[in-house]
Amino acid sequence: MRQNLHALIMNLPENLQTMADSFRLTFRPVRKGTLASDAMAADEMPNTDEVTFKTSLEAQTVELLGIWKSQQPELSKIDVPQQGFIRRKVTRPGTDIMPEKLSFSDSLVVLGDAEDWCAAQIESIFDIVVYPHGEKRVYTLCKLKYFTELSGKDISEDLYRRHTNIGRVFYMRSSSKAVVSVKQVSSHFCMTPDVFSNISAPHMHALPLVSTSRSASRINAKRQIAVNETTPRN
Amino acid sequence: MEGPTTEATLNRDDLGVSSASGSTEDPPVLCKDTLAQVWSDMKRTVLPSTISPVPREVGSPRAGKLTADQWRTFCTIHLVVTLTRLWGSAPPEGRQVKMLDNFLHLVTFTNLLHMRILNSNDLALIEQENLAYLTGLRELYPRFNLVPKHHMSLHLPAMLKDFGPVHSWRTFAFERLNQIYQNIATNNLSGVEVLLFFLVCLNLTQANSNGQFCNVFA
Repeated sequence: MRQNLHALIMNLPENLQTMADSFRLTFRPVRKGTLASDAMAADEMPNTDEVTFKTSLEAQTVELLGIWKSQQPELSKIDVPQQGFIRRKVTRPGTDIMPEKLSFSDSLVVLGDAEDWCAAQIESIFDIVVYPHGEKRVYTLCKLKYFTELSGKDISEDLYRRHTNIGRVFYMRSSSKAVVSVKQVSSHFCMTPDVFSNISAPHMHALPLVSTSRSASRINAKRQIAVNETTPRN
Repeated sequence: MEGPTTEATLNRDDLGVSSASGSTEDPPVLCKDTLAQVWSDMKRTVLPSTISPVPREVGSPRAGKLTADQWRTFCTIHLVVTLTRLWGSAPPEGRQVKMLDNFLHLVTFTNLLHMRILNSNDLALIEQENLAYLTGLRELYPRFNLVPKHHMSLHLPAMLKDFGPVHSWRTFAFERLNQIYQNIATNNLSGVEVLLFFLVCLNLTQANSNGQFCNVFA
């Protein structure tokens, strides 16, 4: 499909050469690989086996969805959707992202890039359908809870922070919840609980498994506004 | 935690470091106690379903040989978790910290090689990490010689620049077949693996000629 698209764009008439040049600059010279397929895979219509049913969203999810919507300029004129299509999973090349109830290990995700990232766990995945300018648009979103960063005293015990790209330690409790686009999820992470005896509180080491790009999800990857402080899991 | 019940057999050859003299005087890189710690951490580590799990007691005879994918999981995940915890607290100028730094250069190099999207900065970083790893290897283990794989790894950035990320041109499917063949009992008869390979190819050719899809590499 990508080759067909490439052939079509490369044979465009002269008055559309600007677009062809943009395509060439974006997808050809320095960035090779699956960029095009990854870009096209996002927000595409889900497979029937991934969507279960349409249902009313929980009150907390609607509240968090309202915060997410307020950060999307193109959705400023619509009301917060009260219903959504619940998804079982989101499939990417080499990765299945699933909610906590269906698969604990596949619900552990990283948001951000190699330099600025945070660990979270997905509670639910759902699609919303909106009509911002008369056009139908589908957004795949996930409700997640962030793991708490170590406090100042315990950070010095975290040996993983002395090196780059090998993860860091978080408390095992969640600090806040948010609704984010599934595009912001960079990858899974491997969790190893209670690695250091000097940290008294339950904690875990999170090792990101970023396989797409070192700069994946750099755009809009900043942590969302935190609401609803939650109680410690343990 | 249960201690290891069998003698650990993971050695430097398994980690890609070969001995020039075949001497066994140097202390092992991964000793029995370290492996026990690795096994303990492995039991508690939660892996995504798309990651190939490693045998529980890797390095012991009962665990058998690993596939290429399992080696990658073991080195880039399990060893990183445990060795950083064990060696990271040593004195900064100590040998263990240097060994850990050297190993992490290899891990970063491997992780970068498996990225699905690469740019010119990534290629420069790949080359830099590989050189740092090989230089550290020469300094930390002067009794060991580099092998042809180390030389070939220096050509990888140029190949990545020409062909793109490895997903489109690596032969991982054939690496899987290697492990399948190694587990077939051949009664020490040579050439059986080659015969099996031709049988698989013949099966594939016949299936294609009949218009069927035969996914022998799945």
